[in-house]
Amino acid sequence: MPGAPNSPVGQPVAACKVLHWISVRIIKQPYFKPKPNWWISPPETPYPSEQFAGEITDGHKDAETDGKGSAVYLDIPSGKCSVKFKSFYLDIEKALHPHGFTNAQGLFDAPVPAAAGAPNFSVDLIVEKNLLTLKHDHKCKLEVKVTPPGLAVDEYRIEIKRASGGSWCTLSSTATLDPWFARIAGKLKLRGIAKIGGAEHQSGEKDVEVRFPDYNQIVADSAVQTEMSAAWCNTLNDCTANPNRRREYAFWILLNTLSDAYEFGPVVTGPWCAPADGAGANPGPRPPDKPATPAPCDQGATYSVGLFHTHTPTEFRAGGVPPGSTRPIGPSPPDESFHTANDVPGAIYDFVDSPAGSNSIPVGHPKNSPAKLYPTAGQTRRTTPK
Amino acid sequence: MKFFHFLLNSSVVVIVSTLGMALGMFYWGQNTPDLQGSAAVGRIHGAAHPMLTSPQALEIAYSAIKDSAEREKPGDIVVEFIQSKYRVRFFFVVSSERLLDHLLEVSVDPESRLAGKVEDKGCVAGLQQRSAEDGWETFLSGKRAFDLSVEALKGFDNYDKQGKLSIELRKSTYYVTFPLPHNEQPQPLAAAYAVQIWVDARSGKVLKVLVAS
Repeated sequence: MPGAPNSPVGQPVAACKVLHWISVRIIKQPYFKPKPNWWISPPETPYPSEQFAGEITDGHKDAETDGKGSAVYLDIPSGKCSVKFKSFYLDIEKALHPHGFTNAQGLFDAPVPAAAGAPNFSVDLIVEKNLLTLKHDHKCKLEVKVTPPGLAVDEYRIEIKRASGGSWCTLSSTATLDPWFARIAGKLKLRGIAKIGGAEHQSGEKDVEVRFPDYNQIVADSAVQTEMSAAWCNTLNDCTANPNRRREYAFWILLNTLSDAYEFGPVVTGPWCAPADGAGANPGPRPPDKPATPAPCDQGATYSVGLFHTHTPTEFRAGGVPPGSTRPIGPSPPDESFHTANDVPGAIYDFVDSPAGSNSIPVGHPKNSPAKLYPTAGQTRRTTPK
Repeated sequence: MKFFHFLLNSSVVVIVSTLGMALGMFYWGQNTPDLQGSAAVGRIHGAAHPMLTSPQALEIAYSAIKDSAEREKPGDIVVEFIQSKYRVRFFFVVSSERLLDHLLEVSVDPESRLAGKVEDKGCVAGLQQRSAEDGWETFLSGKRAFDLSVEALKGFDNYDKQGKLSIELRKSTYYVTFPLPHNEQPQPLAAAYAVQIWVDARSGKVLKVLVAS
């Protein structure tokens, strides 16, 4: 097709745009059986101002038909659309229920016993807790509640999706899910569905956040403690006077939510350091989650939730640094930056300061002196994905 | 230890380095001091060839501001290698709040070892905007704090000679920071500096010598 008059030079012809559109209309269909005498006369005009809820490919619509009984959406992406004329059907139900209307029957079929009056019911999803933490506080009760109780419900479903988008998936096909173990981190939405009288009725959407564990929860875990202690022990053993060297240890802390157990990345050692050198380690970038982007209905995932490393003793450094030197304890500014950049809390095994309150240890400090864990200041826990 | 091993392999560098240790003490008041005898072997962009060091650049820049009335006043100093030249910035304290400092900037060519024109940048936002304690007018200068720090190093030179050198006054303490040695395989979990020396801005006493973890 020709381009616009103001097309850039060299682009006189514009590529054809692939257009999609959809028209929503209520139209009269021929009667498939003779009309009874009492049947209301259809309006001459089409069905204007009919409210509908539509799932169009470019988003949800709450709208009504125009004066010609239609609504048109132009320039929409390809895909599936659906439209529900809820009030239209409610009007029909209201009009026909007294006469024993059921979906399965034609107008002239034998009548069935009269149903109860038009139900005035509601569907709700009760969520016990809307803030959960993987492994440590991930148990929650979900219940689809139909009010008034006693209504015949054909089918229940509890569905979940990410708040940021994506499709709904079914967590449960029962009215109650107790317990529901949250195993996928994220800002999520839940909804309950009850099928009543052949029609599905949804509850409002409920927000739930499933967080990663925080520093205190991670370092309190016995498996994590065992690994950290082993790394500290190796750090002390590697610090020797002859050869005069030392090195740091580091590893990523992972959480497998399927087994609800902490796991660990490979142990990384820093380069051997002489007394004059500063020690360090390069644990590499945060290991990707497995799967990389788990679906909310997945049974579990393995997440990187923290990073651990050690600092080294000063016992044998006196010959390599200025007399009277001390070294700071706890996370350094680069340590902080690295943890912040990787969006994880950090645990650092280092000595208790000596003298107390100095935030440092002297050079020559015995390597078997008291030590403890220090948290990084920035990230208490990894940020919840959207 | 690496340093001394290195010296044993080069008698020329022994002389160069020995003189270089005293560098901070001897090049006062010279506009283009002769630095032939200073610790000048180092790295620029990975090339190992004789090159001006950050402390030497500081000396040259300090000589270049000899006519400034503020030369001996307290404040921060930052020496950085930027776009093939050293940029030396002197932030002189003008008020205890230090919302603004008076900035003099000198560029130093690492090849010719000459200082460029002294640029008076006027009053600018201070580096850290750390306030100075009362009586700051009588504090040591940043350059004097640096000289005292070099003395406290006692020959320790395991730092990046061409790296960023900073002398920062906070309250009544100078923090003189020597950068970590250049590492071909950077360790992201590491110390922030090779050595940092805390100097009392009133007395000149060295309060702390902190080394990398």
